[in-house]
Amino acid sequence: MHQEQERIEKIIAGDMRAFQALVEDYQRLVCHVVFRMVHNEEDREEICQDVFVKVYQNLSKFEQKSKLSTWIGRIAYNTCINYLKKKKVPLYEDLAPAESGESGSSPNKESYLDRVPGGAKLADETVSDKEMYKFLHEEIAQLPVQYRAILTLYHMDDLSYQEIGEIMSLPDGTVKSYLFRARKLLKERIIEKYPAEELW
Amino acid sequence: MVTDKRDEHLSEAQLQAYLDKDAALDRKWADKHLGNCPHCRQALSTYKQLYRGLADEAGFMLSANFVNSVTARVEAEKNYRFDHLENGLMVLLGLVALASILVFTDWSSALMEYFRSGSISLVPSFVKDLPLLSEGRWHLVLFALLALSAVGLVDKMLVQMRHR
Ligand SMILES: [Zn+2]
Repeated sequence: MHQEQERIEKIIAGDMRAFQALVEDYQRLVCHVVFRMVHNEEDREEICQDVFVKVYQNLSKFEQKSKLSTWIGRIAYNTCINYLKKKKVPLYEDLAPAESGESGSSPNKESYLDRVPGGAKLADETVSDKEMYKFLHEEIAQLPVQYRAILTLYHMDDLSYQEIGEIMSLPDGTVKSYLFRARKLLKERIIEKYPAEELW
Repeated sequence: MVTDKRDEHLSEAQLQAYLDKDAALDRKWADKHLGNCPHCRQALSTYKQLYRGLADEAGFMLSANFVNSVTARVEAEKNYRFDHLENGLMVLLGLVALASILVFTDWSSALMEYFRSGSISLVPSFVKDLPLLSEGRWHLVLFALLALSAVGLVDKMLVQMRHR
């Protein structure tokens, strides 16, 4: 914490090397948030840059009330939200209800199955992690933006419910319940796609 | 959410709590149940795979020169802001200098002289009237302002040269 303060002071004083070190330390976090929230590949890197330009310009306003990672995460999240608003992407959707065990074909489910070439695999085929992850990334991309952000911050950046709540201005309980619902839904998707026998 | 139901399978919430290492879950009970229940072991294994997939960073890559690109943009925006500040300051200095000249030179009599004589001798009359200035200490202020403007200009030229 003390080192962090020292670094911030150096950056405010104009030390670009200190700033570069900060970018190196937090680029993963920013990249995770932006890449997960923004689908347009051409814009992603520039948005990541925007985030760090904002970090630089506002660093003197950073109060040590929260962790620097949370503060930077918040800037990244808000930058993406503003971008999506500009692009008129619907922001506050909810999860499509996923009733497991029912084979009723909601329009949602149909379009989902249409997107999966070949449908379910044969039981004797094994699924490589890589293939599974690819499928999963595609499924995550279909989730509402808040769910994507929460999954990413929790599983990629190991942030706590409280830290994620600070970043997204949500109560801890909401973060926890969104996380639970998203993972339950994704688990059901995995089971639909890959019959249980082939998972290990 | 994570209460024990001794006789039942682990709920979805309990399975997730198990992998989240949630302290609210009775881990001893869960371990014992998992040891005896292939159904829950299977569900847990699916969740484990999901968790691994959620932490998978494939495709999350910034270009190799990302840090340099950001630094360049920050520098450019700093210079842009600085340029504006500097330009503004220099315009202000110019206005102050002009105002000082207007207030402290005898420009009205110079103008009168101009209208009276009908000649274009405005500039010489200014020069003639300039000594009026040196009666106060305003010539020092004017000199300082001009010197500052000159320093500003040189500084700007140097910065621009360095960037080229
Ligand atoms: Zn069980």
